[in-house]
Amino acid sequence: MKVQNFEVDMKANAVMISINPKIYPLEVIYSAAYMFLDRAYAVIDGDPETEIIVQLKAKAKEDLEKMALEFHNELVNYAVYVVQAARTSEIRNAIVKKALAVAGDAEAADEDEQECECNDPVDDPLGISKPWTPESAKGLKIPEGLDADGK
Amino acid sequence: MLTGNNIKVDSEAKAVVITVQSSFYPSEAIDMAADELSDICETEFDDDDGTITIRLKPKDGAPVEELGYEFLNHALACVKELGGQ
Repeated sequence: MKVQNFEVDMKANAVMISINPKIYPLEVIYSAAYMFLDRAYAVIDGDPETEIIVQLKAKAKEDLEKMALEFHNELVNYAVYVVQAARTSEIRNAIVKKALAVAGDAEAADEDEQECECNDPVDDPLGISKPWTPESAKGLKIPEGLDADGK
Repeated sequence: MLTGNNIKVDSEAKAVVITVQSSFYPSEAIDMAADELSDICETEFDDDDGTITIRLKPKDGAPVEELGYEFLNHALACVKELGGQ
């Protein structure tokens, strides 16, 4: 049983990690390596079908074994992300479709409104929606109990 | 199969030669990385049957080995940026 799949090169301040691409796809390896770009130089090599080698060369003094183990944790992290993304892809697509459909309906409604010649989308024969002004009240009958000032 | 000899320094020419596989680093990503580092180095690269050879010559006498590793970090970031991977 192969347990340790990395080699530490103290002289080069680097660690070589061997990864089985059947377990971790290349996109997961890219993402995991990307997480180390601020701390290390990452070089990806090997055979994409059988064994991928990731070399992490630390930019400063680091615990290289710990770095290799952290890299493995990142591999698991991104592998889970990819699996979950695949599992929820249908739901995600449905949500996006729904959002686009709603946005499309709203856009169509806006276009309809612009195309309509009358600006009154609601039938308002009494003019209730028009704002009241003192001028518009001139000539109206004053209700009983109120004087001309409305008091 | 632990290699780790992708980066070779040409001390005489003050340049660094990087060898990578196009299956890991597509030429589009190499092109983007070369463009990003065009201010600090001159880049030549050749794609020969799945193996990309990149030759970098710093413009300002920067350490060449470090430049090689930095280039590959940029290339990896470009692979991610290109998406799908």
